[in-house]
Amino acid sequence: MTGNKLKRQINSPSLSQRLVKSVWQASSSLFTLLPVILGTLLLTSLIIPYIPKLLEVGLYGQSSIIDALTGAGVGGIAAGQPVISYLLGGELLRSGVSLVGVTALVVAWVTVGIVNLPVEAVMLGRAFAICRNLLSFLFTLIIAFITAGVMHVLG
Amino acid sequence: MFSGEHKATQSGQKLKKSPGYGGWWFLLAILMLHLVVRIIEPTYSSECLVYFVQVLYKLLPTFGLMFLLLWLFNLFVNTQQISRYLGRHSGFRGWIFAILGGIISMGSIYLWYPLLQNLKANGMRTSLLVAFLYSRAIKIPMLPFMVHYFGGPYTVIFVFNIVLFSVVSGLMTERIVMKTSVDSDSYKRNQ
Repeated sequence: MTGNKLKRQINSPSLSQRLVKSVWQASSSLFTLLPVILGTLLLTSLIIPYIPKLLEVGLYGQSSIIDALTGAGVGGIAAGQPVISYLLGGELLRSGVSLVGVTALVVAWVTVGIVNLPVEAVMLGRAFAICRNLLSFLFTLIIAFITAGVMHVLG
Repeated sequence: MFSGEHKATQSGQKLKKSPGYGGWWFLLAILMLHLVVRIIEPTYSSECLVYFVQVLYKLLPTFGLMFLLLWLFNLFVNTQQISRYLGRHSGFRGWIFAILGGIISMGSIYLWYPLLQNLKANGMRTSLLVAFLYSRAIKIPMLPFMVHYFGGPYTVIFVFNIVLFSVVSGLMTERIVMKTSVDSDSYKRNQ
């Protein structure tokens, strides 16, 4: 493409209109999301300090089902990068927590987002967010038992 | 409360986007909650606020990146492209794109919500949206950590299960959400 052709295309009203429109659309999405992100972070800041305490008081180790439910519950509340769940799960496994509980924690960490629910509902729809999170919670338990079961069979 | 939702038809046509003031009400409610905690437990409240500021500081560059991605998305991606790759008739290729997209997506989920909202408004299938969010549990560059702690066989089973259930979860969520919206529409018509 020659320089003049490129200049004409950049200066064409359609491209400048598209640029303005896309900036406006991006700003509008950011305006919708910003208060929800700030609110979610504030809510997370109230909850996160309690998570290590939940683990310390011995919520794990009662039975496989309770371990799975606790893992899925803690993972569902916690929000963060998947790698944090890998590291936390690995450390919990080393400290004697069952594989079912740890797997539930790792899976729920990303797939279930209780704290993120308001953001997800605003951005993707209320029915979608509630349904997706409920199903993800259920599947977290199933995956935890399947994975632990297969590992048990493999020895 | 959640008034900032896109209303979209199955064909991906955008009908309406109401101004999203619901988020500001949510923020106000959480601020009130913090105020209550501040009155009851001032020390705990201070710890929470320090944590909040630290996380927000880490996320600040993400906001810039998010705006950039949104702007580029709105500038270059059009409805026809979305419909072809992730729409109702995208087929097997759509699943591959959604799952691989989730696996390779990096950064906070907050970065991805606005883009997914745009994709949804432009006709992305609900099931593929779920598959994308679900498969984010797999992070290829981080899998060495998992292998280190849990071993190779566990990692293979984990990845297989996540991919499998991203499809199962996607199909079930789509079915339920569509049924809910049909029921809700027929309820409104009967009123």
